This record gives sequence, structure tokens and C-alpha cells, in this order.
Amino acid sequence: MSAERIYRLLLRAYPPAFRAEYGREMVLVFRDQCRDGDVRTLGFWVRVFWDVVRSAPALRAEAARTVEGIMKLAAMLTVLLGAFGLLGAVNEWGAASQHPGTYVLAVVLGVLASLLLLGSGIAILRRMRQVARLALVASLVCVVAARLAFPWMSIFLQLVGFVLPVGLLIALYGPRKSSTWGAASIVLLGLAVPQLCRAQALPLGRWTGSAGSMDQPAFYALTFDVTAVGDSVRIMLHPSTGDDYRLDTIRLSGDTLRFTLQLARALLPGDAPGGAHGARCMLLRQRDASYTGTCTGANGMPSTMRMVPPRVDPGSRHPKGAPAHRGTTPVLRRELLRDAPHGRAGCAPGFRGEWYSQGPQLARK
Amino acid sequence: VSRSLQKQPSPESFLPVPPATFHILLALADGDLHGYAIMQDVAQRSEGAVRLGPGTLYGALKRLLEARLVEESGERADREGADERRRYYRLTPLGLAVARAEARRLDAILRAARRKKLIGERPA
Repeated sequence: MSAERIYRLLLRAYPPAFRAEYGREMVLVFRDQCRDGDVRTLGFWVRVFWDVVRSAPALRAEAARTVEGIMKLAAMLTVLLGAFGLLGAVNEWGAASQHPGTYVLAVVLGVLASLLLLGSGIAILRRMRQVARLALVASLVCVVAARLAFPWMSIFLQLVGFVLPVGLLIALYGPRKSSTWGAASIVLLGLAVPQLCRAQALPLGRWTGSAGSMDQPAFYALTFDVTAVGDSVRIMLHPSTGDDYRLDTIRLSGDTLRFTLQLARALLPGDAPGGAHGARCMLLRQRDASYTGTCTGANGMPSTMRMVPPRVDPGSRHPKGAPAHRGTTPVLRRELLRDAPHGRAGCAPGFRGEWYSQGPQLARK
Repeated sequence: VSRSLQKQPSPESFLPVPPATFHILLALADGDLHGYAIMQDVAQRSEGAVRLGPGTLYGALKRLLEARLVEESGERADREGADERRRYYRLTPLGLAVARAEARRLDAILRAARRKKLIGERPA
């Protein structure tokens, strides 16, 4: 084997990009060294090997730190997350007790988004940047559609679904400094974000539900009117009998819905509200899109509550049972209650038998 | 934004320059050189104390090119009738400024060492 052939083999220790750029020059320099030195001596080869051992690892480490290296790592992560998304969709499907239309659509879109994410990762690894870009944009569109169809997506899925493709798209467009497509993708993201924020709100309309003690969780039927008031949401709780409640300090964070119950009617001086007034509730989103959890009354008594969102008619933006107006105001509800027969309200036990104890007072007013 | 309008880093931000890199800058201070000529220049100037191998040389040149301290000045044969064309390199104005700044830094260290009588007086 000739000295140059050995040196060409040694050059494989260097990163491919470095070899492509400087390999020919290095071989020329090695030829010069062979011409001016004695290639048959051990010292010559010790210097050659030492040079490779000293410089190749540093250049490899530098190459791993470059954007391409980062992109390769990100692509591997994308492939893993895509596969993880597919597994998650299968698990989600198997664990769900019901499969309403929007849920099926969201799962199908999620599977499609995961496949596209997986494909984009492979495309990046194979240096097919244009294919990767298209797959990422398509994946992003699928995730946005899934999010709009089914607003109860977990924070982790949202991060993977939105942030990862956007980050990769920016990275892929980065080298092109003034890329029209890069600018377009940022504009697209800007347009998508308000839609996503809107989708995070609870579905408007007439919700149903139940409440009860820990032993009998669905003892009372409830209805909720979820209405939009400006940028916020107002929720009124209407028990089948008794006083209405207003859901106060509503916090929807991921899958957790927190609120405090406040009597809808005005409290008169000396009026002891009792009932569920002041109860703090924390409900968790279930796989069938309902919210189930517990409320802790002002007296520390626990009780259960379930909220079931309205079904959305295909092709309609308004849920079934949504009120024609923008929600019932406390004043309007009071008017309605004044006219309604409340004879049974005072007798009806609420949460732990106390919920509706103030009903007759309202009816008497 | 054109490259010329980009803010140029100060020469001091590159200090201290690694010894092998400084030797390359010194070699290129005389004019354009190709890779092997740089190696020979360094070996002669250091009286054989510093011997750059091809890996060390081109690794350093790659970093110098990325830092815009050195630029390629074209590809040509190093002598009449030679078959292989070689890439030549030259200092950029920034590279020259960095070489000067490093020389001043080393000179200051040398003067300090002389004041401490760690080394002899400057030879005439």
C-alpha cells in the first residue's frame, strides 16, 4: 500500500465536510512532505499520525456544533417525536370511552401530523430540505386543524405540534437570509396564533352536567350557560332547582379548569348565603371531552361535579343548544326565577344537602 | 445587509491567538502562500521547533477563513510546469490587525519578563 493511500485512509478521521473542502489540498501537502522527507522512517509516520490524532477530534467536535449538526440532532428528535405521536394516538384511541366525531377527526389529524413530522425528520436527515419544509408546513396545518376541531390538546402535544415545526422551519430557512418563504411562514404563524388562542376557550353554549356527594356523584342535574363577554367567558350554573350560581375566577390551564362558585343573586345585608357559595372547584378534562372533578365548599365539604360540553353540529360553528342571545345575565335569570315555581327549591338538598337552601328567599323577593 | 456594512469585530477580541495560528498569520504577513509554503515558512522561522502537519494547518486555516482573518487569493500552480494547482491564502486587513495586536501583546509580555530579568536584554 502506497504512503498516499494510507494517508487517504487516515483522512477519513476528519469530518466529511472538512475532507470535501480541504482533502485534496492536504493530500498535495502530504505528497510534498513525502518528497522532502523520508517516508520509510518511523519518525515520519509518528508525526503524520500525531497530526491526525491531534486535529481530527477537534474538527469533528466543531462540526457537531455547527447548524448542520444541530439540525441532524433536531431531525433525529423529530423522528422520535413523530413515532411517539403515533403511539400516543393509538393509546389515546384505545383508552377513550367514547369516540365523538370531533374526537375522531382530531385523532386522524394528529396521526397525519405525526406521520408528516416523522417524514420531515427523515427528509432533513437525507438532506431533502424542500421536502422537509413542505412536510413541516403540512404537519403544522394538521395540528392547527386538530386543535381547532378538538380544543382539549395537552400542553406537551401543543409544544411538539406547534413549536417544533416552526423552529425547524425557521432553521431550514435561516441560511437563506431574505427568504420569501421564511417571511411567509412567519406571517402564517402570526395568523395562526390568534386562532389557537381562540380555540383554547371553552366551547360556548348550553353545557349539561351533574353534581352530587362523593358517594352519589351524579345526584343532581345541572346546566351551564357558557357565553362570551368581550375577550373573556362567563359561565352561569343553573341547577334543576334552586339558586343560580356564577362561576367566578375561571382559570383554564391545559386540561384543568378551576373556578369558584358565587351565588348569582345579590346578597342582602344579613343574608347568609350557605350552599355552594364560595366553593372552589377543580375539574379535569376527560377523554370524552367532559370535565370532572371536585368542589370544596366554604365549610370544607367535598362534592363532585361534571360538566359536559355541547355537541357541535357538523358544518355549524354554533353548538347544539346554544342560546340565541349572548347568554343569560344574572338580572335576567333573577327575573326568570322570580316567575318560576320555587316551592321545591328549599327542600332540595344540594351539595351535601346545603346547596339550594337559599332558593325560597330569592323566590320571595 | 451587505457584508461590508456588518460590524467588524475588534482585533483585540481575537486575542490571545493560539501559537500555531499566530505562526500562520506571520507566514502570510509576507504575502500570498499555499499550504505547504506556509508549513515550510513556519518550520524555518521557528528553526524546526514548530512543525505543522496538514491536519493542524488546514484546521487552523479553516478557522481563520471563518473568522475572516484570512482569505483565499485564488488557485494556481506553485511553479512553472507543475500539474497541480494549489489554493493560495492571504491576510485580510482584519487578519493583519489581529497579527499586529498579538505581536504587541507578546511584546508587552516580553518587556515584563525583561524587567523581571527572566530573559536578557533585547539583542541589538
